[in-house]
Amino acid sequence: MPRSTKVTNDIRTLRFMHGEMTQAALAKSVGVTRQTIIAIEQGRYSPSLEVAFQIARVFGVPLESVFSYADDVDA
Amino acid sequence: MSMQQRTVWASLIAFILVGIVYAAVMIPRTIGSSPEAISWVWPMGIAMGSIVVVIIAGVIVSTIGGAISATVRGEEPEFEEGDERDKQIENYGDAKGLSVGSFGALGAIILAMNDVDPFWIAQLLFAVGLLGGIVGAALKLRAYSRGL
Repeated sequence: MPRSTKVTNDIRTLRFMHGEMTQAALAKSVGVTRQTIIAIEQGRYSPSLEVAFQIARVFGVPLESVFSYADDVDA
Repeated sequence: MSMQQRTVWASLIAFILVGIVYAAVMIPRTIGSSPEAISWVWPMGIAMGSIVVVIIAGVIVSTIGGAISATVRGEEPEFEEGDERDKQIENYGDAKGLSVGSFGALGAIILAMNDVDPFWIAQLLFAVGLLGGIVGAALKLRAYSRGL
C-alpha cells in the first residue's frame, strides 16, 4: 500500500479547470518529470516549497489553493 | 520512467546477476583449497567491470525499448532527466546501501586484526558491497512505487 503524505492537493482538479492540462504539460512547465507530478497528485510525494510555488504559479492561484495540510486527528 | 529510475533497475539486475555468476565461479574454487592457492583477483576484477557494463547496457536497452514501446502506442518517447524527487530517492537509497556496506568494512577490520588471509577480506568486502548495492537499489525502487 503506497505511503501517503499529510500534504493533500487539488492539482488534478486545477488541471481539469485549466483546459484539461496534461500531467506532461504541467511537468514541463514546472521542470520536473511526469512521474513526479503523478506521485504528487497521488499523495506519494511532498514536493519542495520551490516546486509547490511553481505549480501554484502555473495555475495562477495562491499556494494554499493547491496544497493543504491535513489536520492530525491522532494528536 | 526517468533515466535515474532506469539506472536503478539496471543496477539491481547487474548486482544480482554478477553476484550469482561470481558465486558460481568462486565457491567451487574455495572447496578443498587453501586461500593462498585460489585465483581470485582477476575474477573479482572482471566481476566489478561486468557490473559497470551490465548497468550501461541495461540503461541503453531499456531506453531504446521504452522509446519503441511508446512509439508503438502512438505516444511521444520520454527521455526525462531526473528531478528533485529522483535526487531524494537516490540519496535515500545510497545512504541505506552505505550503512550496509559499513558493516562489511567493520568485518574486514576484524578479519585483518586476526591475520585472516586477504582472500577472505576481499570476498567479504565484495559480498557486502554487492549486498549494499542490492539493498540500496531495492529501497529506491520501493520509494519510486510507494513514496519516500
